[in-house]
Amino acid sequence: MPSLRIDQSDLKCKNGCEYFGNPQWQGYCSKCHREQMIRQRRAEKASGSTTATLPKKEQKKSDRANKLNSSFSKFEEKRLRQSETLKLKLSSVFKKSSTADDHSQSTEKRSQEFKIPNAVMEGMKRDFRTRFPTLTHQVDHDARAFVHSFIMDVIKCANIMTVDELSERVQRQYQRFMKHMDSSQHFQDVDADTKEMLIDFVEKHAMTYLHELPSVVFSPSGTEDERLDRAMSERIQQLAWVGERHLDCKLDRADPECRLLLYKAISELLGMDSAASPGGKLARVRRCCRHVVALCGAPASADDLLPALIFTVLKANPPRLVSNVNYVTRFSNAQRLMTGEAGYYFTNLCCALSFIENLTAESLSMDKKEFDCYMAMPASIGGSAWVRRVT
Amino acid sequence: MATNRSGTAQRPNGAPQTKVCQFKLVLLGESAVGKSSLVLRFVKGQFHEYQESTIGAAFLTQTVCLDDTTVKFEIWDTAGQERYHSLAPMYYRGAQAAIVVYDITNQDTFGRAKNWVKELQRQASPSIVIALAGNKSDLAAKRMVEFEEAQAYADENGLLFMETSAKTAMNVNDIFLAIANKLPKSESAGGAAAGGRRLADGDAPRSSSCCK
Repeated sequence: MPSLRIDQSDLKCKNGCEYFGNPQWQGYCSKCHREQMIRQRRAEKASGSTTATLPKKEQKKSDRANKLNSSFSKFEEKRLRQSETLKLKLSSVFKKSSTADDHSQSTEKRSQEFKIPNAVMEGMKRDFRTRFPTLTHQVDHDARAFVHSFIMDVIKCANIMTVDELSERVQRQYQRFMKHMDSSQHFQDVDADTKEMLIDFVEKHAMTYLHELPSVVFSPSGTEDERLDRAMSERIQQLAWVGERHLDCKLDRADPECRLLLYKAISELLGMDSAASPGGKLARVRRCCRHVVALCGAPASADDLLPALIFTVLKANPPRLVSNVNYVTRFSNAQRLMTGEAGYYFTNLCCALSFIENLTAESLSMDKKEFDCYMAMPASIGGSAWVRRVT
Repeated sequence: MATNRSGTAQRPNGAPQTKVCQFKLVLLGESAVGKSSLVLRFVKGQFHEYQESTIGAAFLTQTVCLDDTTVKFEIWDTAGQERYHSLAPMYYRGAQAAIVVYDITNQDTFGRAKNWVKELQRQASPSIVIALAGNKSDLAAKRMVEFEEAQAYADENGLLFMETSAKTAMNVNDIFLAIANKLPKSESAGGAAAGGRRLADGDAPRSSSCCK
């Protein structure tokens, strides 16, 4: 008789490992699914269809390349193919958006799967009109065409690149768009600040779309992100006993306003997970830290901000924290992290994470024995609420 | 040639627009040496006048004008407590300037300042401009670190050096101006980030390992 109950084992990875599976990954967990994909690709290669996954145009080129360089190792072959792809993309990006469609009409299954829905493109058009009502139609067209080619490029590369290579490629896309704006006639009347906003526009729409695809840019397959998320969350639970006095932070828990600010900061930090684009996540971090600054009282220096932020992170235990931070680090326009208020606060968040990860008795200036006692305690005893202590 | 930001630097007499350069500056030093007082004095011109509850001293910006250039400082404060010491490299990554602050009435803070300097010279960008500030010079009666000692150390290590007082404002603007003067203003000079966004072209560490 069919039952409404789903057994735990039905949700687990088909491979029988500890993790949960997912129908999108044919019932495997992300790691096993990736391994399965690699095996599949190897099998395809072995059966002589080395270039079957490439679009036709590139296939010709890479066939030629293979003939010329038959002595190349597999690694070099791959590199060559990638650079050919890059050249091709560079020359074709700004022609027509239909060029990108040509790519997807190839024998590659994945590109067809990842056709960008019209609704997304329409939404982007509307957003552009609202944000940049004075800019010309060509600017609009160029920006949207760039987002399109950006997305297709990342999807194509996600399968053949490590996440670091992919991150580098995305960074180059931002730089390429900036160069295009500096050289193209369409942009000659656009001032520097608006160009920065246009880069943010491109980042927002490309990354928002890619963020929704499983395991492409967020917790990408082939990374440890998911495992680290779990480890971090468990670590924070374990540290629930850490109080403001351990961290050198002067918070007044008797003050209702202080408590209110802490909870505001916590909800912004939790909200980081629901924002899709790196810029959106950064904005949450900025709002969170502004609350934390207010929490510290004026004038809050870094001596106050960092401990209070660590405390906030410990009390919030935000979901998928490592994945979120890695996603922003890899795919946000790198310049936004090196400078600016949001970049500064994000650096503080990274510091808080690093501190929590490496925290020892010494870093809390407490006795090793006492520390070990606390750490051995079941996590639930600690509790995470921050209420007035009954004395 | 650095980028001109439209509208921000037009001189009233019709002279050509000045260059605008943006620099990231980190503040290092033990807590309680007066790092944030120093920067608040520089940015807000105030000392112990904290009526506004929203003022943060952790991240501030201030613009100074040199002859032909406008220099915009973006000031990143760092936590000075010993327990957070190991996190400092995350802050000074990509910084073009640093001020290491110590308290002239406390010999220990000078020792820690020397450690910061050593670390910056080893790990920060090679072109970073480092300034040493002996703060609280208004408390000369309780002085524990001699001016000559610090000056000799600064000379040895190629640092800018001044004794400052956030309380009396002595040398506060001067030390920032001295840094601004020493920073390379042209794009070819590497570390400089003209108009902010040049960072992405040359400075981003990611772009270094290109596969060409």
